Amino acid sequence: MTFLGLIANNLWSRKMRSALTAAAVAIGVMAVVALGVLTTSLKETATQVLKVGTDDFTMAQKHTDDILNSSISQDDIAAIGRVPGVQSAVGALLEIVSYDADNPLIIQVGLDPAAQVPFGVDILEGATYSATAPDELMLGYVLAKKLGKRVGDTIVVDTLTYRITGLYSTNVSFGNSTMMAPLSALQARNRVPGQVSLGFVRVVDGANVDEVRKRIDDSFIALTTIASAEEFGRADRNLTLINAANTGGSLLAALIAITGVLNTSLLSFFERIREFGVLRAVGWSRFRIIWLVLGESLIVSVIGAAFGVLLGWVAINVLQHLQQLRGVFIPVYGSEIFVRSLLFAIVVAFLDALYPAIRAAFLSPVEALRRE
Amino acid sequence: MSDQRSATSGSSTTSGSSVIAEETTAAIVVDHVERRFGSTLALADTSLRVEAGEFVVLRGPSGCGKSTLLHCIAALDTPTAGTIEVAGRNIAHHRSQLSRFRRDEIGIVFQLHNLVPRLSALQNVQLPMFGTHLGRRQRVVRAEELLEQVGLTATMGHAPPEMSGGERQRVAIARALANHPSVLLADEPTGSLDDDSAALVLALLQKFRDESGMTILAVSHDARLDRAADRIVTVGVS
Repeated sequence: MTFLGLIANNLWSRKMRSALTAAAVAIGVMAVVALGVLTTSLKETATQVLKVGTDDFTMAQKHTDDILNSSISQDDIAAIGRVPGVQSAVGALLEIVSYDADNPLIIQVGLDPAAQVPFGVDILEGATYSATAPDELMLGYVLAKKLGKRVGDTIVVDTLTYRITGLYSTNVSFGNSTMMAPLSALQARNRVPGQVSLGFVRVVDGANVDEVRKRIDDSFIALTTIASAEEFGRADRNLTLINAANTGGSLLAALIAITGVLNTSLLSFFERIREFGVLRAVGWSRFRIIWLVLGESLIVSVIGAAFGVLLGWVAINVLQHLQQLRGVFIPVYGSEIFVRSLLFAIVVAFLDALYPAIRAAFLSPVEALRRE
Repeated sequence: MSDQRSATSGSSTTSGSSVIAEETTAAIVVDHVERRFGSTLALADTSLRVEAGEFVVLRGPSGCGKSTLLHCIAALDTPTAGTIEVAGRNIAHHRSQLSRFRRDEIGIVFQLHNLVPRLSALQNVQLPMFGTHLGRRQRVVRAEELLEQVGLTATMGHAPPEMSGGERQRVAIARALANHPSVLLADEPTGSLDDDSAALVLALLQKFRDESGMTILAVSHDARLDRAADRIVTVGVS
């Protein structure tokens, strides 16, 4: 019998207790996984607006509740274009439109035809829309395929009918799932003449991107530069709220799991007091007893974590098919979710076993042996 | 504490509160040991000397502190006053290594055997060997060997609840002997056994003492133990 074998034996001989402990961990891990994937996916969806065009960084209004409500004047975009080190600054008006139940959120990009090249647009089929046509648009080729649309077809978006003039690709994958319309037409419809949502800035070859960003940040104090999804929160408070909700939810899940596991750990400890006394009496060191209790907890927690990941995956699949989340929640399984789950299980195991382990190790052997 | 020689006794004398001169090697020397729990005196000023290889039975009225003394000698409890030496080592000087002391020097058998109920006899006997230099295979071989010696070859895979009282006590003896202790302490080893089982346990204790020269100190009210003892010491009598 090895030490690990003894741990396994102890767990196996108290199957129900071990299963309940693992179940508590599994529920916690399931919540962490589901919340983590949900949050990551929603962040990914939210930050996709940054990826509709080619740029080195994006400009947005500071501290908006939603980045789509960001408002930048075209004059500012033009001024940014003149900042030393900037090769091009393209303003685009973005809005979310709904097509059908399966495609409730599609990003529509209002872009002047003259800005399409610096924006990275490559027309694959058909032609561009006219600069002021209110009923023309182009589709990214991925979106066109998904909707089953071709050049010349009409498409009804939010009760308005458009003619598809062309299909395009951009240098960034998400751009291929957008639709594009004349900037002036979109501005007129949204009653925001001269305003765009975001600026897409490219720097000249060899220029230091960070230095150019600093120049712009210093000069345009109402705006902010965003170069990554992590910086997205500077402009979009929703992302900060999503992160806060994830952290809060995960902590709550941890609390529930820790409480559940601690309950069974303490019960187990009180049941085994005499056994710990015997182990001390036959020469076990305090350190070995601590390892025994921690080891048992760790193994149960890791097994619970494995089931928790599985349950999390099931929960995500259920969420994905909810009407409210369809088309918005596209699961993104990052490795960090699984690392976090494992860490969660280890932390739960450690926190829950530490107290009983120390109590067990420091029991008076004589008093422990007197226990019935 | 008084000393009643048993039929086979020929060893040194132990008296009230002093340890008498030593010409032989002492396995256990208890010098003016006292144990209090708050204001309760559990063990009054006691001295005792047990020579290496002796089989001594401690006797005395209930509550006189026999088991307390045994626990102090086993380093399971700490005396309030006095010193205890086992195998020439003052226990108080080895506080940081008591686990090793218990594991290497002492074997202990309890009245209620105190086996881990969900482990098999073979696994129970291996418990004291964790932390020694023995590897997994060596632990198993040693445990099998001990269980064979106590006549439990056929039941070594059984868990304690599947065994009789006598069998459990024999497993406890095998466990106590796992690390070749120099001193075996036994607290009422035959107290809960029928005559046949008690005779078997006594025979085993004598056999192991004769083969290894181990010192045995047993607390017992059981007159059946007298026949096997070299000396009977009554605790609580001045």
